[in-house]
Amino acid sequence: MTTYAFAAALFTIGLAGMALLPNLLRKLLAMNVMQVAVIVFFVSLAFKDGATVPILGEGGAPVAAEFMNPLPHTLMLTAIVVSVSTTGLALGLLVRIRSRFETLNERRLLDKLR
Amino acid sequence: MGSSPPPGREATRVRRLLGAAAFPALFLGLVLGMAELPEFGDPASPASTHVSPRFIEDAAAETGAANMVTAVLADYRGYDTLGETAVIFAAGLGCLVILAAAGGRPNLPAAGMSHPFGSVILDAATRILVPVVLLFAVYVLIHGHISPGGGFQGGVLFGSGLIMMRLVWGPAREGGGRHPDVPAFGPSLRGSLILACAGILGYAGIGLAAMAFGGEFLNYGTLPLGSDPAHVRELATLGIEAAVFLTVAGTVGVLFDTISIGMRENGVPIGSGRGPGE
Amino acid sequence: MRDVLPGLLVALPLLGAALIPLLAALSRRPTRAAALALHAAILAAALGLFGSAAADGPIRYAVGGWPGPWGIELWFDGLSTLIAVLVAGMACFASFAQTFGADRNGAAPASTPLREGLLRGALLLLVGGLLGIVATRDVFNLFVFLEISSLAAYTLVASGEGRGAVAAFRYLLAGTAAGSLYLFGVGFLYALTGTLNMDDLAARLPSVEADAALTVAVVLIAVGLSIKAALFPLHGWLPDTYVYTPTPAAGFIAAVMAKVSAYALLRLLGEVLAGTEAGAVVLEVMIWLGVAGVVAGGALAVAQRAVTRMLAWSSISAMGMILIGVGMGSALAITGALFHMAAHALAKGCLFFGAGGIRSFEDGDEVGRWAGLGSRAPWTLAALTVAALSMIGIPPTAGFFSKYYLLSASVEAGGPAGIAAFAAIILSSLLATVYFLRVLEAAWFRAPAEAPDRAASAEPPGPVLPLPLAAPVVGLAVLVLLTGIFAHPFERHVLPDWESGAARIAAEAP
Repeated sequence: MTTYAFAAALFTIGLAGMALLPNLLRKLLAMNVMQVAVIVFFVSLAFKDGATVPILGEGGAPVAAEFMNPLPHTLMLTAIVVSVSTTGLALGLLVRIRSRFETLNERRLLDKLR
Repeated sequence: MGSSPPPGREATRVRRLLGAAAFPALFLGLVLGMAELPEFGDPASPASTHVSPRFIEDAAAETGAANMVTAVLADYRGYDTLGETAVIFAAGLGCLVILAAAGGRPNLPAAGMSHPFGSVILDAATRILVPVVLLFAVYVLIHGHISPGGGFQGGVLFGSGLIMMRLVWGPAREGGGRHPDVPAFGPSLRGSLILACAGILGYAGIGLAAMAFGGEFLNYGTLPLGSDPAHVRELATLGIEAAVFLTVAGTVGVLFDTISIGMRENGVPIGSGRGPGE
Repeated sequence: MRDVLPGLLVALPLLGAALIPLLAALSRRPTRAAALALHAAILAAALGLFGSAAADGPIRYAVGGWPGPWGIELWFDGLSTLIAVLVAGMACFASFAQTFGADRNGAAPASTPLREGLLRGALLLLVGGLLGIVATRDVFNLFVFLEISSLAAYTLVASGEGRGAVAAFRYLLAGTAAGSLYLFGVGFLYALTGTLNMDDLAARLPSVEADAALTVAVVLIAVGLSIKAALFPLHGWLPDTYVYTPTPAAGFIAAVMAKVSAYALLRLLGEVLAGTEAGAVVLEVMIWLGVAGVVAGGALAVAQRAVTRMLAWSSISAMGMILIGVGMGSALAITGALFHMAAHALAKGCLFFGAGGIRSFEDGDEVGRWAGLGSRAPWTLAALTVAALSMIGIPPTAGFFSKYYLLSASVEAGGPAGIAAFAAIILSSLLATVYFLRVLEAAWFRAPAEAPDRAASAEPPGPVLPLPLAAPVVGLAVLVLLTGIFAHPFERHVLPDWESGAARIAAEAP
């Protein structure tokens, strides 16, 4: 439960940062915090008491109770890549915005757009 | 976000107040819901007992991969992974369109930064490190079947090796600024793009080849690579991982190059931390 | 055919998205023929699936040969194949429009073959992402393809001038928040049921006893997808995005992008989560928010002076109308929502190609710039007029019939929500009459404003739109008319399928 609540707190902080921070780069960093929260949540779903990492070692046939659930790990590998890709593209956009409007401050940007 | 541009500071203040109330509510709602989820680490939870046992107990026999994450990633949910590869490719394509392929020039500009961080010590260290990093990347790719690793991890490592060269030696091929002693090495921006495209083509190509042999899209079991289906799937999975490796390595290169080109050509200061926007 | 087409439909766009940029990077020659051939092939696959699903029933396709819930399944029924045809068809028009100056919207630099190839790749990725969302039967796979379509869309939005980058960044923040909310909700569902497959979820959810957790999951998923579907008041990203996107992409994005998210909402809330209490409440709320969006979108469209911005606000009104149908959930309402998706996509695509082109080539977006265009380019303007009449809802255009279905569904639903929906749809038609008649009046009955530089030059003004934009405009207007004229047989022959589909959904819900 504590892990879940940690994910909820991270998610809230990230979303609040996206909405309230004035600088676009900081909004982007807050967005990353929010995405990490979802990853924490999923990975904590994979945990099983008394189980080990989902890689087959020596020995007999694997038993489900002995290994952690590999599915959330797989899903989050995908989510991490999505997060990295989005961040990469967003940084590209920020370079473009910064060169055209010479600011990343949301309010000044809106003033210049008007 | 989520609303049209506020007309002034007053609206911003209203928005802030709303936000101050909304975010604790969001947190409380999430935690209330989480209180009803299965306990952390519960081996009897639906997630641990419904679909996943097959991945643990049968993956090695069905797909030939000892690393169950690799088995799910590249085989059971290989279609997800194709999508994921497309996502990272989309990011590279986006940065190319936004930053590098603009302005009506027919070719992509030379990759690299305006001021490489070159010095004797960095130069010597990089010469030693880069080959090791690149080799380790290939090891991580191939060893992904039986240990943590795979195409994404290997691709990112390979890409970071390329970035290290760019950081220290500057533009790789065309264009000035390269350290005079260092031979041109590493793909150009166009080369990185071609690598990234080749990865997607390889991945989708393996999937379509499976269709040509009568299976579903990405059903590697039908490929004529041997008689043992698990072994065939293992080989195809390695091909998939290699394709992912190409796309990821290429896109990491594209992202670094396009963003550094964008900053170089648009005069965005690097490393100042606080631009005039602050 | 049934075992090959599903794989081709999802594989071809992604393959093409890499192939076209590769060709452009290697040959440095225009890639239009290859791209058009790919889009035509994708449309053919979608049409084949549509026919096959209508003739022989829905198709289930296990990608990789792994059946659900272990693998990822695709599902092609009347609903998904119709949206797939719509997406693939609009993409053909957009690809044709990309032939000319792939990103010309006045201020953008001239195009090169390499840039054109990259933009064509981004369009194919967008199509691949949207078709993936439409086809999938797996809630996590839906997230992956949602992100493909989003990243490709950000690229296309930002490919114009600098303001496009700002619009794209805001869209990126909103879209990523939407995706993360959705994914968080999927995490809750996974924790409660242990599965990601939609059929398996629908079967296992009734035995889940955690009401609060299920409510959180439903709300997270609904809010996430509603942001992408521009449900009022989560529509903030939409106007700037539609206005600053270069014309060839704007015609496509404005036509289908939000609608595919509305389709995902229909799938998840109307089918998978239909049995949950929270799902029913969320759908009820969606009707009211849809009503608010219909009215607010229409009113703000009247307030705009720039034509493309007016069209963007009108889209928010239309999305409200579609989500009213989704929220009501009756067979008639879902038919109306789907018909409105099709009718609005065709008409709005036509109008965005036309208005965007006029903005570029007549050098201005104000209503006054349309003065006298009717005498200079009667065919193009006639086509735009047909599309505008469809937006208002004048028979025999497609827009009349979709509004007719939605009005009937409101009467059928009854109650305060039904009355509010009925009134809002009528009001939206009145508002649409006001804002479209302004433009049409300027185009047909006002004399052109004499631009000083144009008066000085002796040469007569050329055609209003170049062929790559004029042809989609006229083609889409013809489709708007045909969809309207053949609405009756459509209703006769296609509706029963959907009604049985909706009945199946209702029967499966416990």
